[in-house]
Amino acid sequence: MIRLENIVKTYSDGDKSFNAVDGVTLDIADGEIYGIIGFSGAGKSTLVRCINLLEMPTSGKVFVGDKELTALSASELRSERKKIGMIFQHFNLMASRTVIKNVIFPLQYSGLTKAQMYEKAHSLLKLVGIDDKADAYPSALSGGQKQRAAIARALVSDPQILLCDEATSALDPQTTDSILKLLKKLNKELGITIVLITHQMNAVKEICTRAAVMENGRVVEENDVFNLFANPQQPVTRAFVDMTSNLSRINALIEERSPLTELKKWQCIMRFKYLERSACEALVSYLSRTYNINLNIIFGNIEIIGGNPIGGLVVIADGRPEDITAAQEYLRSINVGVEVILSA
Amino acid sequence: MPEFLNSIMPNVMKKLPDLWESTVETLEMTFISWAFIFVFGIIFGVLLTVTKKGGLLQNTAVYQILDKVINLFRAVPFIILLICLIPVSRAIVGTSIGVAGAIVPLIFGTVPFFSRQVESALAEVDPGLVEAAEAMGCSRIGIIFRVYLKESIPALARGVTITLINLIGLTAMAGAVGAGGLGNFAYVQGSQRNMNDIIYSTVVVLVVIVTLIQIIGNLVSKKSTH
Repeated sequence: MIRLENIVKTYSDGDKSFNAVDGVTLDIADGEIYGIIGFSGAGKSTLVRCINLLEMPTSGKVFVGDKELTALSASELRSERKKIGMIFQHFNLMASRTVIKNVIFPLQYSGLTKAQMYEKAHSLLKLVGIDDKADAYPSALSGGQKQRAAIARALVSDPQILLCDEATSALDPQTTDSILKLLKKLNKELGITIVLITHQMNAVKEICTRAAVMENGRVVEENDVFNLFANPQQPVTRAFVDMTSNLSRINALIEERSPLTELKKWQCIMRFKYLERSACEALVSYLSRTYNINLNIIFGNIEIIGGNPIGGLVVIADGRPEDITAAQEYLRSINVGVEVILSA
Repeated sequence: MPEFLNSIMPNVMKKLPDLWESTVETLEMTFISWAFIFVFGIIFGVLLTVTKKGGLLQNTAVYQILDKVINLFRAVPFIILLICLIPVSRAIVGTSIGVAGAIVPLIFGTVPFFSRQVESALAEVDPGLVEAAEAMGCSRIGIIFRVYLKESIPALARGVTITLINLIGLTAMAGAVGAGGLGNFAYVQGSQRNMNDIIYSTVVVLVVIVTLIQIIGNLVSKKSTH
């Protein structure tokens, strides 16, 4: 659906120049929810603007559908842009127009009659759940409602692609969640391809099928979301994955010499990581019954990503050293990562 | 009532028709020139905004020339402009005196000011809105009218109010060099003949006009802010 070929975007200021996007090649399939994640300044917003050419890449090619956008004239590009909806972090609704007038904005001069425009806009406002706000001005809406209005506006010209530039970053966690659910629903019901730019790993985790991790203008890692979380390869990916889990907090506790980490004889602290799709088994009870060790769970974090459980546990294990070793061997044999963090 | 008015402003009561005529002349000068000032000011204000660095139609040459010409005209004192523009006025409207003669200098004196008002009103428009409109496939001319101008109506209304009131002040000055109007009436009939009540009466009329414009301006600005 979307193909980016070796996109470079250079900004220059006098004799200093800076590559905001530095040679990115991406393929995004039809019907996918594709995440692009990175910290501020990684170049992800610039990259997404290269898809609809709000930013003209310094070099590289952009294909959307079967058209090469980078080869189109200005007016051809304008008509292609109508097939690519976009929503923004700060919603960008027009304050002087009511919600419904904002939604029909892209339809002016489209050849539709007024009645058709309003009918279409109302059906979209119903779809996003704010049809009762049609005649309100944006200033009277909450953040979540504003983003819903913006989504309705982005969808009104029946695009095949929806670009979301930090669309949930200005919203509180609950609203973020409801907007993500809405995006997922739109993806399912309309079959629209969604590109989600974010610095919130949770957003990727919730709805994306695949994701790319960006750092310094480059895509450093790309994978389906389960594998991205289960086997992060790059330090920046690991940093993002750690943000969504509390399993690394044990390190801080040990450093602080928390009473919890004062171990007695035959005790050790271990971290289990579910690497493959194996988290459903009754691990803890099995280990204590079979190897006669006590397991005290201090942190646990298990999530469902892409339909599969993923995560891990931090436990204090209490048992004879040979039993603990045997238990570790068993865990490795069923592909659970084991790491002894501290032992007495 | 007439006796009372006669006792406090005898000279004005004798010249009531003249006062009325002067008021009409002032309003004529203001609104005829305003029609041109509005059109040119919007055009130049928009041009300044879109040709600026990073603007919709970035064009350094156009921006620099426009910017400097506007600064030049704003720097020249209006009284000097009135005199310098006599030949221009004769060439365009055929006379340099009376209401018609005042129109050309009023336009030249006020367009640069109003252009800056328009420029600053448009600068308040969130660049995100322009970006969103571009992403929707809106044309550049569409962005100018449907985003920049439409979204800045409250700020434009404030700019129009300030400019109109300024313009009325300038018509009084134009009056002093033979353009008629309240300024001329106050100077010739009042100041030069030592009839202070005539001066005061023109001030009262001007205060009423200015207040009305301010009230209407505030109303439009308030009604268009959501």
